[in-house]
Amino acid sequence: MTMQENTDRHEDAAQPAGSTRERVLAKIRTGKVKAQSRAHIALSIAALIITALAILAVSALLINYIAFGLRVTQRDALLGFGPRGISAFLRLFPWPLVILDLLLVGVGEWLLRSFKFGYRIPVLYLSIGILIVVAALGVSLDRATPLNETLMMQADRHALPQPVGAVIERLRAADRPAQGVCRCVALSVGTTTITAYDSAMGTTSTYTIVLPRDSRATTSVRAGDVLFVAGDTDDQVFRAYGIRVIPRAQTIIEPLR
Amino acid sequence: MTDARTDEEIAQAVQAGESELFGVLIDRFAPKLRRYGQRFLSMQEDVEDVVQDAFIKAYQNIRRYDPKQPFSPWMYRIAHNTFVNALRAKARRPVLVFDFDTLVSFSMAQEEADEGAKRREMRELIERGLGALSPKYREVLILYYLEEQSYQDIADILQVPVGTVGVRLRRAKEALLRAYADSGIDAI
Repeated sequence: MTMQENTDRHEDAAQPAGSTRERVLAKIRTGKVKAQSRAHIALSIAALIITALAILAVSALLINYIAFGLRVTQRDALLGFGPRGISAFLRLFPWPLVILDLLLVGVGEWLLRSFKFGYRIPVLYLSIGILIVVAALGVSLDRATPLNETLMMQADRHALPQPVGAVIERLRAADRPAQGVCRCVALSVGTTTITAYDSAMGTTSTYTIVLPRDSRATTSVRAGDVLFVAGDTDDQVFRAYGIRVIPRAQTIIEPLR
Repeated sequence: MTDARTDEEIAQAVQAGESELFGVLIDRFAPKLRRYGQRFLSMQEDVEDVVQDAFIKAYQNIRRYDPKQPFSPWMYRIAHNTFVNALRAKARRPVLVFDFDTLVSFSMAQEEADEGAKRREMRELIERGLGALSPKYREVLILYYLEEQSYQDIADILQVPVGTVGVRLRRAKEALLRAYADSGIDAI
């Protein structure tokens, strides 16, 4: 369309509203077009709010699960093991869950944009705001309530419905030596090595953990301690670059001895 | 006979069940929406039907309208959404859903060419050059320069942050001037 045609087209834009008025009113009079009732509108707004809140609640629970997973698997210790530890932490981080959570936040944000306060806030700021709120909720659920410990105990007794029980149980098998990390129990402590066993998943393996040269682990580790070790596995030898003794209060997912 | 009541009062009466009064709102808004639709949709033949659809949607949703707020932006928003849906139905390619202009906030720089002769000149340029612009830029130029809506009302009609209106308006003017330059026409 040329610019001149565009101008010509608008010059006779004013037409009587009568035909539109009569056609619309005729549909209203005959009942073909009806105004939605207040109850219908209230219900649809309530459904929208409940859906948005439910999505954000699921998002917060997902963050709670991620936080619980990092806490009980001791993977956060990797951040103190130098560049290799940070690299392993990033490699083992549950990114699919994070992506799923971001998708949920995106859907929640899209739903909230139906409201005036939602579209008046730029997309990025609203998304970040929602993320901060659900992250704070999720982490608080993990750190300030006994929810996860209770769920874990119920999962141990097989008292949780599936797939919730299986999801909680999965944390037990989260780390394997083949992944470069393990949680194991010290059997004996030598000058440069520790003999330890790992009995997760119903099978028991014994490892010789070769300690880093400057490690003070041999003086701080006692037989019977539960350890979180990061290193390279070679058959039954585990060459560690980082080791941490897990406090007894935090060993809730360790195998029974 | 003309009704001396405001749009908001009439809409409130329609909400209460006086459906015939909706005709008064149609009388008041049909010419504006038809003009907006013709400019925005760049098509003559379907505009009447699309405007009619907009009024039907407005009537169906009339109880969602808050009479404490101005009626005009609410009506324009319904019309705008109806026009966008009509464009999507006609588009061979899907219309872009996400707009990066809404991602962050922009400072509220009011347009300087708002007054007198400059505004008239801008209107003429827009009237002649609309066809060369994308809907995203067309809508904001029409609403601001031709329909004379405020930034806040445009933000409510388009459901975007008010800062986005300013930045989109600036980009729309730049796109318009580029379109004139590409056509070999001296815009100024």
